Amino acid sequence: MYYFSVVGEELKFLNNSDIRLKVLVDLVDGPLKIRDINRKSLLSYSSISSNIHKLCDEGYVEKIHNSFQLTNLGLIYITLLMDFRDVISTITNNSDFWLDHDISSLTIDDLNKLSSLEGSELIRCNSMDIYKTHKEFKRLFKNSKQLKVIFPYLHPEYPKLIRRLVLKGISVELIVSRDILDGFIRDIGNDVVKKGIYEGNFSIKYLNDDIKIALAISNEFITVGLFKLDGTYDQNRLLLSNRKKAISWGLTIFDSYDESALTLVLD
Amino acid sequence: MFNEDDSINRSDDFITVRFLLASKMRPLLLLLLSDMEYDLNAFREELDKPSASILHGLKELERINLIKKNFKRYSLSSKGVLCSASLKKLFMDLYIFEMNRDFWLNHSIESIPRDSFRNTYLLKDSVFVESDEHNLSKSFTKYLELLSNCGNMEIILPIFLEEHLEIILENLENGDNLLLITNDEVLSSLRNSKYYGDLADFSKKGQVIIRKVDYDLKVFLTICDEFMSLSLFFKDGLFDNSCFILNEHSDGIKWAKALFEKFFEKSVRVI
Repeated sequence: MYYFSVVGEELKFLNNSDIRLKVLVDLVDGPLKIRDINRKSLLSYSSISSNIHKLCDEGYVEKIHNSFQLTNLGLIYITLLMDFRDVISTITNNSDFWLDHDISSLTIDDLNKLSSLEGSELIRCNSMDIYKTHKEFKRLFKNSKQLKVIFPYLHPEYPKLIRRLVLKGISVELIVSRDILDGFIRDIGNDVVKKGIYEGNFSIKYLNDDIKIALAISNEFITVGLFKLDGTYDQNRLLLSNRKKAISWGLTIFDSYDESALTLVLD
Repeated sequence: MFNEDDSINRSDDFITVRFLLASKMRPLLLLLLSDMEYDLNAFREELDKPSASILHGLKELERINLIKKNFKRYSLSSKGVLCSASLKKLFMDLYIFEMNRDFWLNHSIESIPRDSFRNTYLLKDSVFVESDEHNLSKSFTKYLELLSNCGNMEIILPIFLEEHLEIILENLENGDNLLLITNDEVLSSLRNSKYYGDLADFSKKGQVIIRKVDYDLKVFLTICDEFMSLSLFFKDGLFDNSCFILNEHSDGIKWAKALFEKFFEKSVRVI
């Protein structure tokens, strides 16, 4: 509330006018004359002129010769507003992924970097393809060169997939909840688990606490799955991205789970 | 010359952003609900606003599924939790700039990568140490005092200062380490100074690494275990030794380390 009381008025001023935001966005790439802004934005001369002078008065834009450019404050405000826009569009574009789902597994730091997921694709099952998320998951797994996965649930096909990857020499790091650890090891195969660990391309760790996120990260993609508020895993929705920023967002989450996870000790 | 669709497309998706920020009531409601559930009476007491405006704001937020109502009590939906967290971050990101508008307007920020502004909420507990007419060297004295208790040092150095180097050498004598990033100009002054031989000796012992960048440095950044400090140049190109940003919290140090890393990546080792 305190921070809002400091910056709220300025944000209101900028967001009260679509034209002001458009002008700031246009100036991000460098100084422009009013004529150039008019061509880029199709706004009228008079609208641009009156708003650009208001932006000058408030310290967001300055006039240099016949051109206008962002001040430091203008650049900082519009950079942060564009970042906020990316977060909001990540949330609204995938509204039913985020709505009514348990997001308690994400820390404030993870939430603060949610714009990293901008441009993600929501894979959703439908009546013609009720296993769409599952198929997509398998497809991505098969083509991976290295994998880091947090599994909060056990699906009979996943241990088999992991088994194949480990035997192919692909690097796989798994984190699972304690409840499903034994089942996973059994289904991957004790011998394969031991071989993978011995050869250094496989590790499996576990957490005693409930895990409320399904996360798979490879060199090329990240997928995120969440639990519904009723406590069941939502098998019908999977968020997928192949962007570097999103992969790095996922790796940070994986690393934080990895730090608190316990290493499996084999006999 | 211009892609005419560009500006239109880039601004169109500000619709929800504007919905959230062009009102004072809507962000306030989301912020309040991020801490606990509220009913109308509790909102009225907290906000001191008429029921009609509160209800209007609540209905708008409910319409886009950011909040939900259950037996007269309002709470955030999971989507609302995300929006509210992002709003808080935005307000905290902007705080350091809004509190010191003149400083940011008058100083050069061209050396600071734009990405670094995306996490300035980490700097929210910073203080501006400023000289005043009673003590023109107040900020510099304070900086040297902090530096002398520094421990291991990571410094981006765009200026050459003898007093500064003397304290750095004292710290090195005490067994601390230095990772320095500088530019050709400062490096040349260092090489011609009486301090260079000592720095080279400490480097042989593994305590000093000096790296350089090929571009103009406009930030003076110091990072230790206990604090980070950041000084900038005025827009006219002169170094401002009358003010620096000091942060003695782990968040501030984290921000500074991320900034340092960006310079490190573009630097090459010279010693």
